[in-house]
Amino acid sequence: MKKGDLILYSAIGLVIIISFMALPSPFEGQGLKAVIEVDGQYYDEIHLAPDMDSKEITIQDESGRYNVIEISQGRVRMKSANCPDQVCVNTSWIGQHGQTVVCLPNRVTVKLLGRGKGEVDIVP
Amino acid sequence: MNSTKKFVVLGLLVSQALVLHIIEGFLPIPFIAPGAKLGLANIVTLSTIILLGFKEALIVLVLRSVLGNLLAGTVSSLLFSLTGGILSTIVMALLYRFKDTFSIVAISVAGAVFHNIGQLFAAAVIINNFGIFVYLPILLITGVATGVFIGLVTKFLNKYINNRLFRLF
Repeated sequence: MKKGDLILYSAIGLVIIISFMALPSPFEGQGLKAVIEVDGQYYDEIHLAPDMDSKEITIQDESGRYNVIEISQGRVRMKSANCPDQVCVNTSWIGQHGQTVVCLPNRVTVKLLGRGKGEVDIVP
Repeated sequence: MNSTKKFVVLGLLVSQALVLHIIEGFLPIPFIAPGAKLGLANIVTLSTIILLGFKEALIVLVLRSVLGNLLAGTVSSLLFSLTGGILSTIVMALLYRFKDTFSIVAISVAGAVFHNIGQLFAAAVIINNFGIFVYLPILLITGVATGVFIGLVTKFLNKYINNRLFRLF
């Protein structure tokens, strides 16, 4: 133990304490986020929580195609759409990490992603 | 040491680091967080800084990372270990300049911590998401723990090789 060691250790200790307080823990599930993509492009993302208020998002393009996405109590669904097959509307509510609602004719997708733990792949 | 002798010593150090790097892949170490590992090859990097200097340590590190990941690894693990390794070598060589102020264990701890920071930074750039910095506190703690271990090993190792290596030549 030399005289500089204590300074170095306390500096590292301080950084650890600060990072612990400043950063959220990766071991807590932090709920989900819904990522909306239109035409393969990022459109919007909403963090989901079980106690959140209901919300509707309408996506409309210039040719008149529209999709209404409803978010309620940590779940998402395609409330209505004017696509011919209605597959997206029939998918109904989704609320689990990794689930998706896809509207192929209108090229709208809603993906549910877990924040924190679920997001990082394990690289052994 | 003339250049041929240095060449031989560097070759020996690279092969030692390579063996440690590959053996580490065989060890069943509990999974704590992505990127957390013992870093046995860091023993050689730190020893090279002590025996030969910063430039040589960097050569050993780059050769070991490239060859090691070629033999047992992936392109992304190569990028992680290169960024982390280079950052940690720079920090350790800097601290070793003040070797009267810092002990080998402390230098090793700093090296391990910066290795993890560099690695996390590389990972964040690759996956284009700085959200993985939530792993920083855990990786810092594992860095301190493995750094102490590697530092102690290096300290005992260098007691032996310091005299013998130079007696050989």
